[in-house]
Amino acid sequence: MSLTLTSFLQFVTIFLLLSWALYLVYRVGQIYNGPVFTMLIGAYFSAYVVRDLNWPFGLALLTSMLIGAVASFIPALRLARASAFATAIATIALVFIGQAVIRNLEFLGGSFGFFHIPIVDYLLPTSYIAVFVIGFLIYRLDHSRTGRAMEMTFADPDLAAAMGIDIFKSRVWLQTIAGTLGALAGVFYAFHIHTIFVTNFGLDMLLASFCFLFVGGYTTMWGPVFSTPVLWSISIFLPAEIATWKGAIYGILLIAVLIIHPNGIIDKRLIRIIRGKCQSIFSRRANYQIEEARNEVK
Amino acid sequence: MNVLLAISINGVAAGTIYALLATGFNLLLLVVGVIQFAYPHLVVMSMYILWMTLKATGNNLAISLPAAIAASVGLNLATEPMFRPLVERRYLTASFVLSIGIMIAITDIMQRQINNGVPIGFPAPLTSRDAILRTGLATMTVGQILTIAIGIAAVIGLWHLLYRTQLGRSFRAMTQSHFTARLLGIPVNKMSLGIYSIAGLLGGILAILLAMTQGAASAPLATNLAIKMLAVAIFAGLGNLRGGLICGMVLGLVESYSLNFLPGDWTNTIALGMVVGAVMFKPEGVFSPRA
Amino acid sequence: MAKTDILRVENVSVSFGAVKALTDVSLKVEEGEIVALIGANGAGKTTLLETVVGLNRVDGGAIYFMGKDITHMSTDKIVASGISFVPERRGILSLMAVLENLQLGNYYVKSDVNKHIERAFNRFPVLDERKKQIAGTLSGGEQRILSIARGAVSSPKMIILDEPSMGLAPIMISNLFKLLAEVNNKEGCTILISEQNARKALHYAHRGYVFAAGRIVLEGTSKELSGNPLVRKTYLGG
Repeated sequence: MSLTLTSFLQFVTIFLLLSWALYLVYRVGQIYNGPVFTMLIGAYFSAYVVRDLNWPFGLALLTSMLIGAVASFIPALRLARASAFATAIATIALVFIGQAVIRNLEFLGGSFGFFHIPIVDYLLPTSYIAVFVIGFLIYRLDHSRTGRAMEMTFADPDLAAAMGIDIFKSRVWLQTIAGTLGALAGVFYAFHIHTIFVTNFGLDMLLASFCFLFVGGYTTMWGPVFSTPVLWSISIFLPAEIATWKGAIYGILLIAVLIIHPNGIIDKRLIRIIRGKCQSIFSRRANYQIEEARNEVK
Repeated sequence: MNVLLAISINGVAAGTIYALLATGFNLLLLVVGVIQFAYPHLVVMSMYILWMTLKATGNNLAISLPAAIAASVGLNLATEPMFRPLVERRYLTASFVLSIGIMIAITDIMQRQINNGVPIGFPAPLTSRDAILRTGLATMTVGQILTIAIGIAAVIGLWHLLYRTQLGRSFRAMTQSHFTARLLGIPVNKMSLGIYSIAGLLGGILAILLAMTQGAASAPLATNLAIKMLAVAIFAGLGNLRGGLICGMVLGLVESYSLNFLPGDWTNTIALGMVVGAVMFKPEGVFSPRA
Repeated sequence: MAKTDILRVENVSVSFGAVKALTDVSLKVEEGEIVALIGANGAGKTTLLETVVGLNRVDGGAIYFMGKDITHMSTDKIVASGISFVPERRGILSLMAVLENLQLGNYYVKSDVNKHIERAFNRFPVLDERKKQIAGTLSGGEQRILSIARGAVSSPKMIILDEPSMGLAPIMISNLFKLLAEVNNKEGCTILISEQNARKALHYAHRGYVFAAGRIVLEGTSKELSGNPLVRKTYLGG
């Protein structure tokens, strides 16, 4: 596999995890940038323990997720009560505070960056397995009673509360899950690019994940699944003259989508239409088979 | 004693910038109903336009300074049609996301398309870095004094407009309810354009002041200002004009003192820590809302 | 006094999505009149009033104010041409002072702003005592008086009031109607009012229209309507 393609596939998993993390908390009415904060932690922690302490990669990955969970759970106890924008800015602040702390830690390379992160076999397959497992879990959550009720929170918090949803609790849990996903993305990121700087995990990362989620569509988990590979391919598969405008294209796309179709490209209605089409194709085939079977019997 | 004075003046100058940024942001939030996170990016973009006109006119200030202000007003007005569909549907959260789109686009243009992505530096006539007072790390420049003076004048002017004139009363009526404002015969759409222009005017002034005090501009400057602006606005309570002024000033002073008395690059961290604390323990902000 | 139509509504229909809120409504208001719209909740009174000041999109028909077509004019222009609208709720600017509320009622009056406000304070002395107070801290009745005073302060040709007595104590309601009659009498201001309290409304109004399910089902002078057995049974309680 070519290096470009590997890199493309790897970044798709990383940004998919980040966008899903943002998606999970946005549905309970908060703009949560914590995943970038835990991504920073996950990346640096896993890189350090594997390179300097010779931990096995699998252990480092699981521990990073655990740390990510803890690092988002503790602030969540307070942030779960804050408004959408207050959460947004407080979590952006957490990202920058995290950066400042690591910049002042010599053993993590400070502002010079952390180099020579070891190569891990099967990183790409591992990350795809992780994405599929997590995707499946999010799908199950979305289609559970709890998930459906949580969705209410976005449109009408009072109604959601009346349906027996503890908004505070669900925000705490979803923020914790989002933080865990962020840490996982951080591990994949660190072991994919081998050299990390604190500035990698800043506003750019955050803006990109916003763009993927809101262009793709924030009302279903399929929005980022569609937008992440499509948008990421702009920088790789398009000619250099166009690719150099990547950021501007992202920004303009985001603005255009919000003006024209605020729910994003993939929304619930579209998913229903696609599902209906698929079902009608399958059912037609099934009818055909039944017909054939009948004919044979005759 | 001189040291403390110089540090304080540094802080007040920086605080003035934050306070004005928060004011522009709050005006757009209150009167129009948008969260314009990219407001500082429009300010820094105006600094780029100032730099380009300076280059094109051979450092002619008489042309370049008005050009920067006009550019800022134009940029802010250009965002109005983007936000309008969201304002009509009252999608406040979506306006925040849209402003992030503006941010991404402008950051990219500054980082790749202008001056090969290298931070721009402003020439001597504008940046007169002559220190009036220099003690240790702290210096006091003409730019800082001008910043403070112009900042105070701008705030007095704006407050007079808002609280002493019929136009200002109409703006404040819109902050409470577009519906009622319409029924009173206030042309809500035209007034919104007015507020974009005022925010733009303020932004243009900020661009010139920043060029004088910072001497340089880059995408990270815009990002940094955006974070500080939102921090001040949230710390004061979203949409609180007076609170925004006070908190901006406090942030400037705290930064200035910590820069001089604390080791390492912890300056930003203190400000940001304050924000995290405020959001966690006083989510509605420190000041109570008032029109 | 030569009676001319100040407001004419001709065959107006309005719908919200699939719901028809008004069907083929026609009415007229003559200069100097008090006209009451009565009917149950949701019968279309509020929708009609809001449509007159341009808050709803008109599907069919036309509205004329002093002979001019205002069907598709924007609210601010309609208000500027001399109609004041006093909404049912959300009326006052609760975070601003009483005086400022009155000053904003004068948005389109360029001359003698202070004279107009002085007159309003004379007519509504309770507001004069509280002109510096933040409007949201007034009592419910005082807030209603403020919104009516604000509607009248610019000496408009016509005031439209939507359910002015809603939620007020009976004694306040009587006061309020007396004030309205006074404004109508002394300033010659035409008044169009929607009211669930049909008895009071018909007592003070010259003419009335009865709304049901988005249509006008009856019209006539107050006396005729008060005497109508249907109106008596349905709206006046027997």
